[in-house]
Amino acid sequence: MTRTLPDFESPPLTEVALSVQFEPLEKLRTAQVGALWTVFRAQFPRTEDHNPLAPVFERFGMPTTSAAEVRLEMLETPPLPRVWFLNPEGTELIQVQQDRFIHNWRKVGQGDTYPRYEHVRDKFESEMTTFQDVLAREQIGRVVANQCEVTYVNHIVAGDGWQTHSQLANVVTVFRTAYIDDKLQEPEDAGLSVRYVLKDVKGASLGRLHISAQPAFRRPDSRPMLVLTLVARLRPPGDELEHVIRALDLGRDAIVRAFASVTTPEMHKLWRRKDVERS
Amino acid sequence: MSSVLEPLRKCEGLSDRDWAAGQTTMVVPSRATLVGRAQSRSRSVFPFLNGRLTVESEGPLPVWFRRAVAALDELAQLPTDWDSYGAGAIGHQSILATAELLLGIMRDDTPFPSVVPTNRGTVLLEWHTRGVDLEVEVRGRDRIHASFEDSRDGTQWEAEIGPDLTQLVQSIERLSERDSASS
Repeated sequence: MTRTLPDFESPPLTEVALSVQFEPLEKLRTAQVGALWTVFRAQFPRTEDHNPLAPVFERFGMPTTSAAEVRLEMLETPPLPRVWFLNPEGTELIQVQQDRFIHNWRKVGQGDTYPRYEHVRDKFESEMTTFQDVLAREQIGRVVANQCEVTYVNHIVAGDGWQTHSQLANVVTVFRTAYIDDKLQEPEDAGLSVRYVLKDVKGASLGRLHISAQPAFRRPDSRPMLVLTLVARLRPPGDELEHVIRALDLGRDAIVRAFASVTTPEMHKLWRRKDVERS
Repeated sequence: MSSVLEPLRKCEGLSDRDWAAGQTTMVVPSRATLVGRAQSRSRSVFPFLNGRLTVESEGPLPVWFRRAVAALDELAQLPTDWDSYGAGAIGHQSILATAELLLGIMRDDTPFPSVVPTNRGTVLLEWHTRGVDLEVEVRGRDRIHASFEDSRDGTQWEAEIGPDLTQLVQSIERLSERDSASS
């Protein structure tokens, strides 16, 4: 079966991240992460340590817009950091922590072009397989996936189509300035955040799509830009890698369709939209 | 979100906003809010076991939460074989998930539950009041087993509960809104 997905020859994409969250691997400590790095070192020779990300779950039916975040910090066992393995150019990286495995592609220089989702997904899948092999070999445990996440970050720089932060409506369809009187002047800037529930064919809630548009300024030339971020987070249909990949594909589809839906046809022309059929 | 580009502080679950990017960094106004989260997340810290329990939430924590922390701390201190029948120690994931679940489903007028350990190393929340029997075993985040029975109208259900907490929240509502004089 083929399906048509929106596609752009020149998308404003600056980063794509594919992430799986799983039940914490208590035996994954510093030494084991070191063992993991030896496997990835040829491709990712640089490392950095960062604070671990808190677990996050998409839940439904609760009378709150976001769940409280509860952390337990034990004095005798400091938290394992989130470790980055970076390629020499810094355009691709792996992030590992006790309950998370992430692959990022990001645009670092103007010449960097998005290698397309399929490439990023294949890398993620291959690296996850390697990660699981190391977990088994080192008797650390197995990945029991509980949330998957796809993130697309777009930097939409002012120029053709819009000039100032007040013109958010020139870029996105889900914002408009319409007043019932003339008291308000043009807004200085505007941002938005929208959440959508992702459902399966039976109507059951799978996860959420989070979209945010925030005004920003590009370095080093301080040109106005909009940071349009789309995050699809959903529960995989099972805890195996194939289920993770299926959930990531669903999330990516949701993001691509949403991006085309919440941005204006005028911007699509600038990004050279060309929808393609995919099998 | 797992992005590594945005230089904001972490505030959206998987977000990575503490990275100072090179050529592509931008300055996002500090007043920006994301995905419906209030920008005033409050942070509370409780002594817990041999460390501390930190909670970030929208607004201040409810008054009953300190009692919940004390009850969970007591369970966390149980050694292996605490029941003399080989029971496991209570898992930290079950404890954390219980704290989050209570914050998600309890109302200010909900009676406080009994917080008891199971021999599987999990936390069991029990309400046996106002004509309702509600038991919730928290095995981990998104791994919950619950049973409910209302002696007044005979309603009962038992279910494995995943991300959709609607049924559980409705049962808590029923329990909370019932006249405490009911039996």
